[in-house]
Order: sequence, then C-alpha cells, then structure tokens
Amino acid sequence: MADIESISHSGMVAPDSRAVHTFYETVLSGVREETVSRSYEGTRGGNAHSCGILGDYVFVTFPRRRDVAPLEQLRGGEDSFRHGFAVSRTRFDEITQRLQEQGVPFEGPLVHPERGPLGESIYFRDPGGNYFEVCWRRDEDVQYNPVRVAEE
Amino acid sequence: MATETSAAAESARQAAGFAAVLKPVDGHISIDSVAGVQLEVRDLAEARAFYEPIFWDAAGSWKPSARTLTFESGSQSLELVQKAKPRTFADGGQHTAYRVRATRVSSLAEQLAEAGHSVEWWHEDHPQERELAPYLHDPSGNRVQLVAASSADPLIAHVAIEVHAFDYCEYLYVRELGGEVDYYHGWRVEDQTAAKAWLDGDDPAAPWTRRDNPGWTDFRDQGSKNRSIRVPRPNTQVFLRYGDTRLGMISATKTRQEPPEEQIVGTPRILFRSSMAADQAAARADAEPVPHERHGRSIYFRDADGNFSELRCG
Repeated sequence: MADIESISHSGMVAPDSRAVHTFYETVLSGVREETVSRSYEGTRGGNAHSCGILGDYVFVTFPRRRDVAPLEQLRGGEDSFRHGFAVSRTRFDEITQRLQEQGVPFEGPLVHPERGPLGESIYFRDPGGNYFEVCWRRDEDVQYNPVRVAEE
Repeated sequence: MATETSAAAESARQAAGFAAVLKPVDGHISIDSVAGVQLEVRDLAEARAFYEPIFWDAAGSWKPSARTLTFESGSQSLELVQKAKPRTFADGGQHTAYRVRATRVSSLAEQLAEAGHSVEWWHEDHPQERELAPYLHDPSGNRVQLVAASSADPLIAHVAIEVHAFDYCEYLYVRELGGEVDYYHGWRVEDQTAAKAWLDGDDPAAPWTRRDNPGWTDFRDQGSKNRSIRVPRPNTQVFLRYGDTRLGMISATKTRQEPPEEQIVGTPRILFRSSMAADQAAARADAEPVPHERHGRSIYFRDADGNFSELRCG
C-alpha cells in the first residue's frame, strides 16, 4: 500500500492568479514565497505562478479559467469542494472581523452540533471562486497526527 | 564606501519576511518621480546627434563635460556616460520611453529611418501602450521608444528594466521605494490568450512581451522545428507608478553577465527623485535589507538582478 503521509500543497487556478494570491496575502495574512516567472526555465518558465503559504499550507496559483458556481453562492452550490482551515477560537473571531473590514462576503458563522468536533465555520470564496471554510474546533487542544517528515 | 547592512536592517528583514511585498511598508522612502536615466554610450557626439531630433520639441539644454553629456529637461534628464564597451541590452526588454508630440511621431520615425536606424512599430501590454509605437536603438544599442503625447514634458514617460527575481525586486521597488503596482501582465487567462494571437503572426507585440517555450532539442532541430507545436506565453511584466512616471519590470529574456555583486554604484541606472531629506531617506534605507550606499544627497541601490538605481534627495 502506498504510504502517503500528508497533503503537500494545492494548485489553485483562477482567471487572475495574482489577484487570488494578493487576496491570500492581504486578507488571510498569507506569505508569498516565490514567484516563478523566469524566462530561462524551459517549459516551466515564463508562465507566472506564485507560491505562497497560508498557515502551514502551501499554495501555488495558476492562471486558468474553470467553471465555478457564481460568486454569490458562497457555499459553492452543488460543487462544495473546499479547503477547510482550522484556527483557534480567538483567531476565528479575528478572521471574521477581517473579512467584514475587507468587504469580503462570507456565510456564517454556522454553529455545528454541540457534541461534534467543530465549533463554528465561516465560508467564503477567493476572487477566482475557490471555496474556503475556516472553522474552530471544540477539541482544539488535541494534537492531530503530526506529519513525520523523516525517520529519526 | 562599504555596503550598509546594519543589524537593524537584518532584524527588520527577519521580522518582515517577504510578507506584504505588494504594499509599500509604513514609512517607506517617498519618491516623486523617475527623474531620468544614466546610460552608457560609445561616443558622446554620436549619441547627441541621435537624440537631438527626438528632443527637438522638448524644452531643455545639453550640458557636456569631459566624459559625460546630459540633456536636462525640467525635472528629468538623460545622462550619457562614455564607455569603450557600453553596457546596453539591445536584444532585451530594457528601454527608455521618451515623450514626443503626437503630431510628429510618424515623421520623426521616418526621419530616423532615413538616417539609417532600424525602426520597428510594436505595442506592449500596459493599457497605455497598446497602440503601435516606434522602437529603435541609439548608436550604442540602448533601446528607445517614442511615445505619442500632447507635449514632450515630462521628457521620459517610463523606463523598463529586465528582472529575474520579481519578489526581490518588488520588495525593493514597491515595499521600500513606494512604487504602486499600476498593471501586471502574465498572471491572467486573457494574457495567455493574447500570446496565442502573437504566435499566429497577427500581433505586432514587442518581442520581449511574449515568449515561446524553448525545447531541449532546439539546438538539434534549428530551422526545422514545427512552430505549431510550441506553447506561446506572455512574458511576465509588472509596472509600477511613481508620480506621473512609470517603471516597468520585464522578465529577463536571457541570462546576462552582471557586474560584481559588491558593486552598488554603476551604470546604466535609473534616476529617482525624492523631496525627502537625504538623512531621512538614508535612515529608512538602513532599516531595510537591500544593499545601498550613500554619497552626499544620493542613495544608490542595486537590485538582485544587477539593475542600478540612484535616489536623488531634496
């Protein structure tokens, strides 16, 4: 059996990939790591795409057009594929406030069942229509399977 | 003078990371405008004979000295430095765009062509440069663009440089020097669509604004390659605004020999003007990690790709 350990990164697509990356930086406090855009890198070069980090998660963004639900369908319509980020309870309120300040439409907070793992979630879309959920967990003190990056 | 890399700058670099490079940092150096360029030329008299007809309707005057020649026009200047082997980028995207009264652009282009200069009519991708404009080289190989305008004041509409490391360069020219991102090209689906039109041969785009993916077999198949299987791409570009002037960063079209890494003052270089006092600007430069030197009221920078610039303070 393939012994896969974790998700490494996501390749995000949008009609304007830089606008998406700017959204991650300015609204979600992401950090841009590197813009691959150089002309001499052969078949991978010249086509600008940015690599950035949200929390501990790596995104690469590419200019592509794809069918997405209308932006007003904050929860994605029939296609509810999304990235879900867990944050602390305090941080959750900060993010909600940040979205309001930045004029980013979002749905929620949705209160999850009291005996379930999730406390609340909000849902929103980036400028390319990619769908996100941010939640806080009721068991936020529990450490989930830490990623083993190398044998000790 | 040694490069200034203070402990404060290092701690600022570590604290900031490369986050928020798209926005000028609080307390950034305030630049009023691109104040000109300093270019290397082989022969000053030859260069003057080339530029004089271009500057014919610009209010200004020539100021010669032993090994330099300057054309001053209002708050801007073209400063020519004589070098036996001028460092120019004739085959790349680096260029200086001069304003010329719209009514004389065509006749001037014809006049320059009759004088033996090869004039090409291309467009670029910035929204203000989508009409065809004449491009040519000065006798030393510096690329020149003529921009149709209501007047030749200010003289220089924009300057474009070649870069490889966009993130580093945005750190310097946006975060530290306060440029505002005016337009970017290459990140959008429509930019890719435009590149396909170029491959069909219907689009006179400036050559540095498009690229065709190289293949490893090109050296072997030169001349016989079926171009229809190529993948046309937009060449990445970011344009920054400083006052009424613009700096374009064009993805470098080739790898070039750079001056020694420790060299901070050099040519060709962009000239920026700031009304800030030199002490104040220097203090802000010291708080950032980009190498710089101060000489009198000027602060000199060098970006990661060997492009030089000079900030002339009030």
